[in-house]
Amino acid sequence: MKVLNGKGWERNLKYLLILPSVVVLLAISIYPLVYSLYLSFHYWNMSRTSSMDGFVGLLNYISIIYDKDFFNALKNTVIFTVSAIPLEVGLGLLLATLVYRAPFSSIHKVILILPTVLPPIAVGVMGRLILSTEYGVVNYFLSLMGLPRVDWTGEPLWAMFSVILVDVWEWTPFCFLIWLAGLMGIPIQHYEAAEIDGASEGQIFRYIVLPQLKPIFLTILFFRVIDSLKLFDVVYILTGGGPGTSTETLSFYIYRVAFRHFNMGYAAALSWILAIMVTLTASFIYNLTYRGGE
Amino acid sequence: MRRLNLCSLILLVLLISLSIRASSIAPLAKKPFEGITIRVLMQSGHTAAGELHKEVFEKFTGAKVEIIGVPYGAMYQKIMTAFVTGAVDFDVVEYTYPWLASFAKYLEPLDDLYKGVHKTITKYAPPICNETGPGIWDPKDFLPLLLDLYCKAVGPDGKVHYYGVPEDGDVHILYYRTDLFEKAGLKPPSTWDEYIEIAKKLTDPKRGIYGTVLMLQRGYEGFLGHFIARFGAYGGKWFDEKMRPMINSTAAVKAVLNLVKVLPYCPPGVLSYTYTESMRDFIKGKAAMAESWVPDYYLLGNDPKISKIVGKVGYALMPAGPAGKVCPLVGGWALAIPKGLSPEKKRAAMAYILYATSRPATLRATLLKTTVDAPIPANYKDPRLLKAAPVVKVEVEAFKIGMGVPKIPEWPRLWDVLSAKIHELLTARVTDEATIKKALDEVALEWYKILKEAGYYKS
Repeated sequence: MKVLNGKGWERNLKYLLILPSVVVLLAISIYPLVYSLYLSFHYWNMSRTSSMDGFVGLLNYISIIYDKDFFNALKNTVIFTVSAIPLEVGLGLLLATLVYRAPFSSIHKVILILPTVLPPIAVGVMGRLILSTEYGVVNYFLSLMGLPRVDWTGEPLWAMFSVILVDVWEWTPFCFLIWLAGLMGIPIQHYEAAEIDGASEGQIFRYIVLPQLKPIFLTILFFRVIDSLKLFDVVYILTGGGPGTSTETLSFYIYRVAFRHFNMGYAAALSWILAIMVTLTASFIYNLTYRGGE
Repeated sequence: MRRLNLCSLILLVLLISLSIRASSIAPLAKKPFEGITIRVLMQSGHTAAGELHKEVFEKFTGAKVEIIGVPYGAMYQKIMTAFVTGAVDFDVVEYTYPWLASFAKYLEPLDDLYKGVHKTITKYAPPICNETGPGIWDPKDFLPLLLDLYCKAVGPDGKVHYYGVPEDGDVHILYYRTDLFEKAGLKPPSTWDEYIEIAKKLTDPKRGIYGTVLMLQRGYEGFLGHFIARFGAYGGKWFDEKMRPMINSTAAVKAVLNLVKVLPYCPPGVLSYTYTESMRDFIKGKAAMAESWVPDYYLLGNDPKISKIVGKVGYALMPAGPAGKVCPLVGGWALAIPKGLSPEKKRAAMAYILYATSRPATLRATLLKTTVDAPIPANYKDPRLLKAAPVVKVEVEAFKIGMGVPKIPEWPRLWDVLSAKIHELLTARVTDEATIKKALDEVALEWYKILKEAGYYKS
């Protein structure tokens, strides 16, 4: 071993092997990240000049405090997150319990997870077609029942509801899949022991299943919260942030500032605020999981 | 030996005659842009015209043309991002004139073209167009008013240059259902107040017919058209002489109010409508009126393959304001060349533009119902076009009285702010003038900040 370690090229081989990954990571992840931080301290109106105009210090960050549109987008993002995630997690658990207990075939399970594997843009387009006021299938069934057609994407409340509905449709299967994996990981002996001790089904679920699913719950929460805070595609396709700004989420607002206003420095500052929010939330959930694991 | 000599002589004669023949064919077979590919970036709704031009251009010049369609909503940011990052993957780009102020520094100035240099280039462009006869590109063909609006901008050197060639002249007019109007004993509305009354009278949700259909998706260009038609008619102006925003004027308040008041007579979901949904509802017979581009709804409304209202499409200028002012939105598209092309590509791209914007090619495109019609007055007088789309008769008049948008780099941002606010007012069905005024005051303040930041106010 000593002989091998003594050779310089062999000692450095490990660095050489990870070098390609590090270079790629630096080029496509670290560099843009550092550049965006640098950009966030500058003014750059891209529709006027093709390079940064000047250093403005913390001005972009201070401007966020006075930006009503930012707080509106933050409010919408929070409303969306606290509405969609409980539904996705709850429905996912319900589905997983049903599938775990009933003899569902692999085909059924694959069909159940289909919405999650679809590209988000396709999900948005399908949502738009399904919820179309005039030609959508949802309004068709409503009219068959004698109910009035709903302007799903044209009224603020319904528009937010539509975004939530489409997201729930897309991501419930993901939650279901993770829940199912968790359920399948509980040793059968735990159920048998509980049954021998005379526990009811409700008690088994409350005292055996739920505690063992806690890390699974936190894992689902971790992924879904991060994803919800970054929601963009469905909003872009389904409502375009409208009507007015009633479904404009943080990511969509950043896109608007960057690619419609071309105010790149401010958009970079907004992106960093979003990144900090996502990181803090993720760390909080991670810590909960870690403590739970202990 | 003698026999061999004779054979050699015959062979020699044959070879010489073949080489003479070959040399006489070669220039004919050689096409000027053989081996060159031109990528043309266009708005998705215009690609049908692009495909028509491609067919002829490829045949005559040997070039390969790729038409790339991009949805209108994504076009500005796509082109702008390509320019700024240097990742330009197109050789000809279609733009609508409000974007020109931002694009100018990335485009090839075409001043030489307008000074007569085009004559050396047109020889490469296809000389004929079967359906519409011969003709070459001539800058004098275009409506001078639009030539300046669509193509002139201040370049990086601080001087005004030509950067494009007009391709599609767009102006809003009023379309209406002649059968419904006749049955109700009505004439097309002459004022915006009358417009609301008529829309109300003709709305019959039980029969699935609404008074009018608009394109009210936030930020959409058609939405801008509806606003300008009212804003201009009520005497509105974008800025005062010191470039201070006048978007909170009484005219703007009345324009928004008129839009809010007409909402109950529009199909449900109209706040998310774009051109597609508006056109669909009109040609499917679900709306008694529509405001849109010339000659689209007339051509599509009279197409028996897709329309339920063939022979029932009427048209008129937009209604007027209280002082009798009619003010449709003047839109429009032009073709340009990005900077940095190789001389061969540039020449081929230029030839393509000259062909695609020439009188015969544009006439052909309009006659074949591509909805692209160049602002060429001679086309509007062509008997074939007048028969196929008599609606073009009002086009020149509409251009003359219409209103455009400010050609400043900040316009897309200003419109985004304005459209978001009007959309909020429409969504909340606000009819209180004071509330509308307050909302527009906020827009004016935001516009002022944006313009100040961009350096419009020196103090």
